[in-house]
Amino acid sequence: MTVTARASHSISEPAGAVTCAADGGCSYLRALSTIEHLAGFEHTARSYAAAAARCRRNGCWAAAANGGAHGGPTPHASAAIPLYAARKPALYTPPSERMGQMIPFVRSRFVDFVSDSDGNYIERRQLKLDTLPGRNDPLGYLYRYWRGLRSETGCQFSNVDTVHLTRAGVIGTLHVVDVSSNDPVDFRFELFGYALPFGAQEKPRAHPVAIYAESTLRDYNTVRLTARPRLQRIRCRLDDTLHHYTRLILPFLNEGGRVVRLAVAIRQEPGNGSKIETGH
Amino acid sequence: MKTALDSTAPEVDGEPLSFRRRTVIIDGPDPVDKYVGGQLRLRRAQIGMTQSDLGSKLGLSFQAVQKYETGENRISASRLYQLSRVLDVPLAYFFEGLDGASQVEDEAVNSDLSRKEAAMVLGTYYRISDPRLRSACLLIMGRMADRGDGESA
Repeated sequence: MTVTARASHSISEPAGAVTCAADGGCSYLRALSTIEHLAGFEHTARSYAAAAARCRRNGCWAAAANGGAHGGPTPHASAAIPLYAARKPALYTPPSERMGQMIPFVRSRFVDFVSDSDGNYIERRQLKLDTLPGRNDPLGYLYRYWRGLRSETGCQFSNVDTVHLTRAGVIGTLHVVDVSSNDPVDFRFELFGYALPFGAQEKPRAHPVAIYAESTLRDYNTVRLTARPRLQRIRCRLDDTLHHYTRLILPFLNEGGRVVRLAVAIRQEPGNGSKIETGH
Repeated sequence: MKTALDSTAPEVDGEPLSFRRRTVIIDGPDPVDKYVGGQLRLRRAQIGMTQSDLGSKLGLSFQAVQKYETGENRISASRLYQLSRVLDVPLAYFFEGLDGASQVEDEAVNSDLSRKEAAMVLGTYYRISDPRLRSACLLIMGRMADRGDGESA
């Protein structure tokens, strides 16, 4: 799927229509709708879903509101739609600039490496949370927001304010995982980041590369059991594709203080998604 | 065991009328409060204002805004007025679509169909070139309308 606009949208009616590159309506709005639904705000969730459906019927009104006319340019990732950014420019930076903010490996605690006979490998470096950049970094913003939630509320998912997620710029790469089961095999994605080059499975367990599924489940389960966030740098080769990203896993509790949901934010790093040529 | 108080309790449709006050803990938020809270959340998100931003403008904590949005706390009239000013929406916005949103939509569809029907009748009528036939048509339609009124009455 071609990724469309990163910036957020207002819910006003479209001024005109252009062709939308997203499958089945605006993925951005549908992601917001899912988050609102999971947070228990059905009214807002329905409104976002209705706005996404309007996109499907009429084309992307967000682009139209920015000067596009009927049959005009198709919105895509490189053409950021600055509806929201125009109001709150402080934290929005193009993805290419974000990619440059690497956390140095010297700050990593330890490295875990697993591989299989098919040539797949996974290298996971645990990073210290205080290494997250303070400004203009999606993961840094999200972590600080989560820390504020934890100190001032019960850190439940229903306390999440989507405006902060939008400001962080994580919608599109954010996963929400249901970890209410005691058995990690039953963990399942409630929201899968639409901007990621991974195929969306319902369960992490269903990933075709077994070592990747197992290591992911182990990390999720650790956060579930400890209720402590986790920051990792992942480099892996899965089916002749290199993946390189930083992952922040944040726990959310139920009323009984048990971790039932994880928010997993991904920052793609340089070299992510590159194919490996297999020569003869 | 039935007490004297039970026997004198008023009934509505055979069910005893309850005077128990509705509470958020037992009954959950009132649907109208929840709806108004939802409209508040939607508008806030629409203009990119966080709960903290809104709270600071109203002298509230973000938790209080959160409770308004879930309907857990009822929004007073004065607070609603303040919210409408801060969020730049009319007061009616908070109740838009609350009553029979679908009914309004149905009426709009029906009215649209009626307009199309009327246009078809007029178009057909003026396609009849003979004035005598046109007046005969009018006569027939009038009779049919009268007959229809008589039957329905």
